[in-house]
Amino acid sequence: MIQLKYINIVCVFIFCMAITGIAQSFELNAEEQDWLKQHPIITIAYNNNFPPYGWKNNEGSYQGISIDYLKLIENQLNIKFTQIKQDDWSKVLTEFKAGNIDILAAVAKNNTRQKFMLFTKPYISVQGVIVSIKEYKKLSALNGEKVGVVNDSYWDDLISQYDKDIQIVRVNNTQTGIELVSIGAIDAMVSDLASVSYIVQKESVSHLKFVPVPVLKNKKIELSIGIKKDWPLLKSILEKAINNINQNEIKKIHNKWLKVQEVSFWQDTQFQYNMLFLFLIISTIIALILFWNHSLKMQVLRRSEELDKARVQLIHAEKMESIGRLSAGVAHEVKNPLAILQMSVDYLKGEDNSEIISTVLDDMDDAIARADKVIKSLLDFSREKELQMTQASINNVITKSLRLIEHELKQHNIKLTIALSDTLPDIKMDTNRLQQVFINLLMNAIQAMASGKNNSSEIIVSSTIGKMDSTALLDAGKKEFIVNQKVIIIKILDTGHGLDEKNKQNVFEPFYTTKPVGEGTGLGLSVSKTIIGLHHGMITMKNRNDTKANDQKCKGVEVAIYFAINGEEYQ
Amino acid sequence: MKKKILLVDDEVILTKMLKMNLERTGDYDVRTENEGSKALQATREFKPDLIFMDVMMPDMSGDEVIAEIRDDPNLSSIPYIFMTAIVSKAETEEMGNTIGGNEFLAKPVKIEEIISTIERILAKTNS
Repeated sequence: MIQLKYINIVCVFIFCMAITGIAQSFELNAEEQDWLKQHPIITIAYNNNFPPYGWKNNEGSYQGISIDYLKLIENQLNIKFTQIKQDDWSKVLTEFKAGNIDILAAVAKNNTRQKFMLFTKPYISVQGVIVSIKEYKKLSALNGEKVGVVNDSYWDDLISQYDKDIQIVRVNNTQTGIELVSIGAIDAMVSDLASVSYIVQKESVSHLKFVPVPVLKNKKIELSIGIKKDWPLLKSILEKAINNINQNEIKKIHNKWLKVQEVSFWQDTQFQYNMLFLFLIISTIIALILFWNHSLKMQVLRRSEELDKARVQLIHAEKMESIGRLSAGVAHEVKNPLAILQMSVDYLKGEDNSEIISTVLDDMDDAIARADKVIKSLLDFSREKELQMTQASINNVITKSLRLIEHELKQHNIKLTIALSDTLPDIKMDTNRLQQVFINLLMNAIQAMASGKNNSSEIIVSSTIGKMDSTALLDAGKKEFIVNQKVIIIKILDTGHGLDEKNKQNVFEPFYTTKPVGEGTGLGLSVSKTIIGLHHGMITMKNRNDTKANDQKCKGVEVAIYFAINGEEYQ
Repeated sequence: MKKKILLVDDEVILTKMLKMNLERTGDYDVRTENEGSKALQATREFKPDLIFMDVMMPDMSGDEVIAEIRDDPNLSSIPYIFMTAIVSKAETEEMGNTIGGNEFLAKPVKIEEIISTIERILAKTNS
């Protein structure tokens, strides 16, 4: 019990301390205290659409600088104002005039208002600004322009009284005005810096410029609490309360609502333009350097490729050259012993032989024939440079070659499709050598299909006039041709097993063959390529990439031979 | 009566084997000569009905020997066949077995082919 009494005493003491703390620099005289007692209800209207001074937020409650000030005043006086909710500022003024509202939280003093209102000493200063896209430097520049102001605001009065021919557009609030300026519906909006900065920041409108209203430069508009004309005592009470608000509180409110709006140098439009320009120049330079670098790289790559190709061609040429020289010599030296063997075998065959001996002699006979075939190919090689050129029709050569292999086609049950263009011009050629090439290629095709189990074997031979395409040119690495050059194209397509990756590289190499031992010398394609080369033509061999009627990819090899026609370009 | 045939080739064994082959038929009397320079003398002595002449020989080439034989009016009518290792068989067929109007055979050549060529030429000479 004693303990509890003690606690009570402590509480009372703290309470008294608190009371004296508030009343310390705050002395209302008796008359004023009486007045407050007699007026327990004081109605107030806050600005509902005047950010950051006072506005209604999304939740419907009022906030802003003036509201915070009035709360402090309420605390000072230990009273509570009764809030009248009215969203329309014009109506607020009407109600005020009618005596239904006792005080207005934040109003600027002007002559019109002084007729029906008392003003406390100002507690907020406001800098006026003209918001526009064009940047009006003077009020007079607004002459003839559409200028927005908040209806019945201080700015409304100011612009209305300004004796220039300004088209006033009255809007409900600063935000609406700024939006209208922003979309170009009006030329400018006159309002205060704090409201404008607040809105501009909130809405992220960056293309608007705001300049201080010149007529008011260095002379800021000030907001006071507006009081009923017949309540002078309240005015002195409120002023005492305002005076008693300490600096820290004021600072707190300002920091809360009026963040420093200084434009940093990087936010300056001119600076941004300069930086953008600089950025563009630097990007362009970098892009140019990159492009240059890239094209150099490509050039190096192309050159290396060309060099590689040239090196390969050189090696090939040297190889051919030595094979040629070698073969002529070897052929002579080998043919004589072969002739002796042949004579010997023939002699032995004439004797009375057992069956086994006869078989052995037949095998020897075959071996001699095979060896002779290899020598023949070698001789072809050594003599491939002598051409008998005449002006002739390539189609005739093809037709003649086909006639010579007709028997083979029938034997292997291979279908032959011929599509020869009848508009081909005659070209200079060695018909015998080209016939050798075509027979060689056709026999290759036949052998490729004969070794497979394809029942629908087919050879397609075509000749057309076309243009040289770049991939073929790259494949063959020929310098004699240019892309899009007009050329005769002869194609031989088969339905055989095609080339595998390894073969692709080597098909034209001498002594390269995929045929069973004894069936190919590995010189046919090599000789063909050389013969085509001597005709300044080009030959490529690759797997087919055309498709059948059912969109299925055709299997087999496509050999293409190109001959130039007078260096013309294909139209 | 047996036909007389002169074989001129620097390959000794080749001429020997060819001689054996031809004589076995019983139709031919064959003499061989392995040096081009001695071929003219051999022709004069042997008086063959037909000469087989190798083209490439170390001391004297076949066409040089033939040229000399042609120069001798007594021998100029003797028919001859060149045997060569420097052209292939397929080519001789292509060219109808003649080069510059001369008959020739490419080595290696089968005995049947040699005999049929001999018969053909001798038939032509007799007619």
